Amino acid sequence: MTAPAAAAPGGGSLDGSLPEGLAEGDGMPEGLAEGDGISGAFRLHPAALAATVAVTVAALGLSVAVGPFRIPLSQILPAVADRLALPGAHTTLTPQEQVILFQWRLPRAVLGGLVGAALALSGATYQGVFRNPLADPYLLGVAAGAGLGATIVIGGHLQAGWGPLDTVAAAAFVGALAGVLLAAALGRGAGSSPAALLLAGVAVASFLTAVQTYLVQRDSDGFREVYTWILGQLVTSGWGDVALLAPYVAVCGAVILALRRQLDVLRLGDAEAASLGLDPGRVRLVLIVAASLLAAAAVAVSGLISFVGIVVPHLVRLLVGSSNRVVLPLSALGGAAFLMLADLGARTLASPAEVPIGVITAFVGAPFFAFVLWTGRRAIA
Amino acid sequence: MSAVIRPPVHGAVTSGAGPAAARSLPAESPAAAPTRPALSLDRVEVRYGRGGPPVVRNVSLDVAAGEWLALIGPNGAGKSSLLRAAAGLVAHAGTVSLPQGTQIGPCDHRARARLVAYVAQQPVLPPGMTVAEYVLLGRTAHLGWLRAEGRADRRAAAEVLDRLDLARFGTRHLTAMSGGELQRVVLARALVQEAEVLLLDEPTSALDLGHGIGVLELVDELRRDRALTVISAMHDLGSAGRFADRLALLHQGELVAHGTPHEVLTEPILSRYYQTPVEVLHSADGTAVVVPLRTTRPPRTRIE
Repeated sequence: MTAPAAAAPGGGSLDGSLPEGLAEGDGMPEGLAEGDGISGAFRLHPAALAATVAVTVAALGLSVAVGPFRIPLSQILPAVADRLALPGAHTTLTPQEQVILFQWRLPRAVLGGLVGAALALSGATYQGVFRNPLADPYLLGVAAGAGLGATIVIGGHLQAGWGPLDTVAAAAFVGALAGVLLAAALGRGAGSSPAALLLAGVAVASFLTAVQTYLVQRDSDGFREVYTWILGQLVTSGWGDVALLAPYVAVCGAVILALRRQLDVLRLGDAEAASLGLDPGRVRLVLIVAASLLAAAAVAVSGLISFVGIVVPHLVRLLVGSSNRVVLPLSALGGAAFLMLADLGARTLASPAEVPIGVITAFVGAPFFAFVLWTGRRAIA
Repeated sequence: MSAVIRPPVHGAVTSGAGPAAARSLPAESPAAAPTRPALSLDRVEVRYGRGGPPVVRNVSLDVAAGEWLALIGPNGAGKSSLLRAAAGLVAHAGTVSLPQGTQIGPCDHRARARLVAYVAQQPVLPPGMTVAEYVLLGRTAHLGWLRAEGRADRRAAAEVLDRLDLARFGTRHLTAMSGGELQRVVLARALVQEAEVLLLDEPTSALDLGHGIGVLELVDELRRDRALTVISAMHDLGSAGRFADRLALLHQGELVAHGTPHEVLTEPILSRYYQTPVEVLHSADGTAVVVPLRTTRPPRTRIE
């Protein structure tokens, strides 16, 4: 960032080196407001990006290294290099350790990262599109819709797939889009307040979940697979699920990040955004489709994991800043880190048994949600 | 009291039915001999909801380049709706022609925003957004879908911040600004848009006397500096008469009177459409001062 170059003689130069949001937190003293703030406006501070990348890499390293079999952190990179047949690479890991690393730990960690990134990015997008700090794939009925779609396909033994095109993912996407559109329509009918959208989302989610539960109860044998899936899980072996999810994360993530400037304009509301030259309806539609596809793909792979989409974007806003050009990329990275760490907890807390990862995220997320609700009252009102 | 719309009571009063009649040129506008209209409304009609009654009916108006037109009228007369129609924010019948005579489709927000800037009565203030960021959003119409603000956009925003004495507030959050400062910030965003026409919806409604006049003086200065055309909905008849070249009085969605402040701010017209008796006085410099009269006798205060 080209921080305010003409630093005031007496003023602390500290604020120039901090991210925008951090420096001002709650009302900067008059004397420190140097520079016109234009050069730093909407910019993602490299330090914040570097810190988030570091946390994500650390989470990846930890979740690969820690488990019943410890794999030394220092051995991971050489082993990966060796696997990729890079010149000069050499690994000291035993073949057994290599199987654990490449067939279990690494795919699971990467899958967790992708699911976390997808959920957090779609949550941040919904929050921007609906101008509602509490919007979240889980609360808007997106996840429940995806769950119902996936349940129907799994229970009906309709699974089929061609690469990333998979009937479970497709049904989940249709369900997710139906869920969010239903919630949006119902919320609009009930008034324009943020609470209306949220209550509509809760109603839609309850209804879809009830249908899903009924289907599962009626034919408990056929749906046994669905049961573990409902609680959220990242159990995987090999790279199949990663290959399924990665294209969705890449494409939808690229679309959402490409529209991050437009999402900042939408913060002004539809009328003012239109008066500034944006087509709010079109931007909203593209973003809702991308975010729903992202959430649906994640749900299809990992089941219903709650609160990632709300905890991570809010942490980013609290720590770094509220511009979507900051919130979207950092949420994707932070979501990856958050879910990898949550999965680490799920694997190790009750080892050798596994706690469903959805339990861990809800355990962290629900109190955080209450906190946001409490401190965010002003912003919501 | 039933509001009956009757034929004109004054020379400058026009009925909504005759668009040609409404296009009387300003008599004593400082922008003498306007050559082309910057904005022209032709039989504009606005309804909310299908089959609802029109809130703006058949309004035709030309606004000359460099002119300041104030829309006045009682609450619910359709001032804001007419402005929103001119800004392309509500669906309307009739045509709105923008500078250079262009007509722009309802969905081409970007092309319109380069010609017309709109300031809402109660602008949305996103929590956590800084003044600099807010002003920079004014460049939206000049950016392609995948382009971020470039150096030139940031320079334009910095210049406007500087011009409006806002540079020191750049990193401040919008929510931490006072009402008067905020109105300047919102104006700054509209100026960064670099449109020829500025539409202001009640620019001073939230401000006290001093700050209100300050904002209007600023608008007038900017209008002269940058050859802007200003159309503002205004509540305060005194300010409207003092700052605007022409006034257009709306009543129940129709344009009922139209002309210089001197022609429109008269006792018969105002008493009739505001449905309360008024007295129009003239200050030393000749501008009209509207004084509402009481309709009932003041109750006698008893001290026991």
